[in-house]
Amino acid sequence: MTRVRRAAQAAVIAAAGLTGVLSGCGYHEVHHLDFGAARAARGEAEVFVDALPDRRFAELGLVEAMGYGSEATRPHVLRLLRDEGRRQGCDGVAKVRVTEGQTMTHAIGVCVSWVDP
Amino acid sequence: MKRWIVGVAAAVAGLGGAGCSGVSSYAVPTTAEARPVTRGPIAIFATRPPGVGRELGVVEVRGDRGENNVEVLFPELVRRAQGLGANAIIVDWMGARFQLVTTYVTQTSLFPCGPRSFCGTQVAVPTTTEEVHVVLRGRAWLLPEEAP
Repeated sequence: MTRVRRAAQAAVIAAAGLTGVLSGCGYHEVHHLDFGAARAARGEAEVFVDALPDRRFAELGLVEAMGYGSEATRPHVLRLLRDEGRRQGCDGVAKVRVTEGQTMTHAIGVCVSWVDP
Repeated sequence: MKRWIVGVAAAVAGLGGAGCSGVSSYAVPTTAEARPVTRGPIAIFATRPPGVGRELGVVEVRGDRGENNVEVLFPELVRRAQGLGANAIIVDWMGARFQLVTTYVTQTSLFPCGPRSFCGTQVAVPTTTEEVHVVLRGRAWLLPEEAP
């Protein structure tokens, strides 16, 4: 009886998980922290993964993104980070670190602005 | 009786407040010099260290359970650095760590097993969830007063 119940529970959990994946069940969150004065949104922000820009820049703050479920992919969180960077007025998001788990993916980077136009 | 209830409620609230915060942090001085706690604005170097100044200690903050984002964690990192007397922070590492956590929930079932009697079985059902910890680690730094 116990064995039957365990099998039924496992089937329910598996079905729920499969349904979630197939239906595109996912969500995300983004965060930012300003080091100083906030800036108006920019046209586009470049993303530098594990790297620094090769031009002079000033640090404006930190931006962070987390994707869950079907949004827990590296391309998706990098896109979230770039969009959040643009909203925060960053010219670029530098020193980006992406960490992938089983069901979620995290990315964090430094919002920078170019010193020279 | 009322006093007893209030006492238990306060104890439970205290335990909850003490044990359920998702933020933990530490600061380790790396110099013998003890400096007074600083307050106010602090300089932040998140991509590379400044060319001047000296290290006062190592600081780290870690958050989970909904308190795992920079908005919550960075102020705690600043507080830790200022506790060592720093007027600047160098952020050396920031990122996430994941771990799978399995918890067991006991389910009890009753079924008839004789005339006017019931028997019970207990099953421990494992549930595995993934937890994320966001970590910020850096150095408490002292810039010379004349430095910008």
